[in-house]
Amino acid sequence: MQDSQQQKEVLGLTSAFAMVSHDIKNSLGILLKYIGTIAENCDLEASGVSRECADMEYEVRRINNNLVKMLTLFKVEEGNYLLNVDAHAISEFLEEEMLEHGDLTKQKGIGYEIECSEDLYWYFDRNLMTGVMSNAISNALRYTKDWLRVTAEASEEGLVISVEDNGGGFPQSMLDNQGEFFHPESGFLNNNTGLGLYFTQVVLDLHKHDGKQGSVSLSNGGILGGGCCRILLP
Amino acid sequence: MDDLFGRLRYLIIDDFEQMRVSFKGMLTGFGALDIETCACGEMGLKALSVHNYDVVICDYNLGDGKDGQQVLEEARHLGYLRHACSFFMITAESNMPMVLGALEQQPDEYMVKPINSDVLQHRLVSVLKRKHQLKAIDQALADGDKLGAISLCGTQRDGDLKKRLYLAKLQSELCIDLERYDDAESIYRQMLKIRDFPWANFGLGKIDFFRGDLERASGRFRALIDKNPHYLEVYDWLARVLAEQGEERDAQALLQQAVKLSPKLVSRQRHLGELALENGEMALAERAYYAAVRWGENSCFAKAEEYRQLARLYQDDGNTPKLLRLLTDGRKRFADRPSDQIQLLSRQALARRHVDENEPIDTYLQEIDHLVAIHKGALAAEDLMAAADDLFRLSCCGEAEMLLHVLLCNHHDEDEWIERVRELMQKYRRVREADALIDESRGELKRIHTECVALLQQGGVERAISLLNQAVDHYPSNRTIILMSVSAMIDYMREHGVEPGYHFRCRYSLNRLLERDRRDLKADRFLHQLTQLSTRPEQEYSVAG
Repeated sequence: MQDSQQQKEVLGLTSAFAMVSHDIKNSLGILLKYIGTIAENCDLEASGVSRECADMEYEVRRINNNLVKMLTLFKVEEGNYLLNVDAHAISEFLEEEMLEHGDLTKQKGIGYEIECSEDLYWYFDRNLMTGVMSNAISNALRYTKDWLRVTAEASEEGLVISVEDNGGGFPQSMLDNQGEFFHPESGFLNNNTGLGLYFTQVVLDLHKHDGKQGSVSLSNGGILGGGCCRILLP
Repeated sequence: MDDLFGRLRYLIIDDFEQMRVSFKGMLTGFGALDIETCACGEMGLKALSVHNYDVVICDYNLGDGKDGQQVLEEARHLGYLRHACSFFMITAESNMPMVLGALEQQPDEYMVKPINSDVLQHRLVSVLKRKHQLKAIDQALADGDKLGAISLCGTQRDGDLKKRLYLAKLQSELCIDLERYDDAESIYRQMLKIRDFPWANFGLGKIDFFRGDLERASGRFRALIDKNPHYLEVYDWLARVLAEQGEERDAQALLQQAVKLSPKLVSRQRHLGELALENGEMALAERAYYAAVRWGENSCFAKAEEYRQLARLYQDDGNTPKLLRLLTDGRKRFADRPSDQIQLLSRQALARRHVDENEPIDTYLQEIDHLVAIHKGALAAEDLMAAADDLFRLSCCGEAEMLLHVLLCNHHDEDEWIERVRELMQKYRRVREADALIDESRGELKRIHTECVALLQQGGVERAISLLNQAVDHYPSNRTIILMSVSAMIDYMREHGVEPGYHFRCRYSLNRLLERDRRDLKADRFLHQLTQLSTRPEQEYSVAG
């Protein structure tokens, strides 16, 4: 009896949270639109307004991404997440993920390349993977100098997606301790990258099938010499 | 690319003005010219009923009225959405059981807020490209030519994976509609080799059900629910199976679970009410029928049945004010649906009598007479049965039998209905009258039938057709007569070329039959023949050219 009472309260909380997040998202969407308009209307050369717009947009997107992460983790925890696996064209998907950050790349003058075969298809929950990619891309955009390289190819273990940048790379301490981020009790929540990695791993776990497991790993170097985030999707 | 966007017609449905403006601005930016906006689902459906749109952008959350999923379901059900139309569902969060719970009614694309214009454009282009590749199939489906669509699906399996999956799904669903279960099964099995798709398992379960293998169907549905507790449509199917196996209690428990997850589906609430009645759980039945009435208020899936059943429960409770108000509401709600109106009129008469034994009920009876006279062909057998039952109870036997006469004329050769009429009249001790009534309506139609067969054999095709068409006008719901006339007209046109009047009549009649039962195989086959008839000249040209 108490159990069902408790369950009821949790369900009520989730739907309340979902409703609030709907409202917040409407506001964020409109904020993003205004930021876009301001950026368009002001002289690109003038007084760093464009730079500030880019920063503003970056922050708005962060709020949004965190909202998504929270809601998703909430549901996974409750066992209420409904996985919606479908076939998607990877090149189209990656192109769209970059466009998602289009205003930001334009304003910051960051270029990018996508390397992926046109006929590469994979099965996954598009919305979850959008969260994962958004995370990796926005992180790379923050630390890169001026270039991003996104690649994808199929392998025995699964689809390998890499996001590389030409910035200074991840700090050594983060690389050394990346295994720790997957244990919530290690206090990773203090660190945004940590939450992102945790979320990514949860999403990849939801996609495991045929005994295949997903993983995410960070490294430095690669073709561009900066940070590299490698995602293995089973 | 600009002119691609410029050629299309768009509809935006969003309750939030700024969002409408924002979407409209984006579309205009891509070169779109013809954009309409609606602030709620009801207006959206109205717009969809009037115009053919190429792209619909609909928010899931639309405030108090219908939500986006309801708009999608009703628009598809009412035939307002052509296959060629791309439906974009906009959601605030990526994972809503209410949205994803439907395996069959999925939009073309889900997009999650906030949406920027580059992404929208990118997604639009890829969907439009996909739709363009499927143009021939969409046309076949728009013509109602399922057989043609199936063979087209078979020839287009060369594309990318996404397209192949889409076609496999479509083809197998069409095969099920046409009772080609072996074909459908082999497609689903192929797909399951690629991956454990819930929709493929769902399809196999349905096939088991239609083949009468209830045991296997229930096993499959149960396994699906265990793995995907949010796929609510599976609950409905499993409940059907359980009810047929005589496990009404289990079926009821299952549907109770489903309505807890999503209360809005009218047909599910109605089914739950039915089961609860059978199980003698009156309080639950009342709740379910009340919910059906409540959610049906602005839904095309509402029926008079839930009003009738709820009225009965109120009457048993002695809750007279609620009872009378409900029936008045129902009459208003179904003012434009004569069949439902008749059901409610008879129930209203019964309720009046219940309140006061001396209360006159003539006005109700007159109204029923009037509706029957005008709408004879459009009255559903189920509604006529229900109304006749009430009228017998009021000892208005003449009126009741008039309704049953209409029913029998529309179904003169269907044993199921004849049996049910006989049973009903037996209940009121009118066996002799039943036999007379059945003989009378059957005799009339048999005469027409024999006369036409004779004419056709003697080569009087045109006279037979005109006689049959007269009969169809007189008994517009009689499937046998309709199919005879369609068959005669198609034969005639095969020999003498397409005759527009006949062609129109055939299409109209067949579409009416398919509206009534979309799995009417004969009607499907005739519709396919009809399409073949009208496309033949073109095909010959293309061969010659």
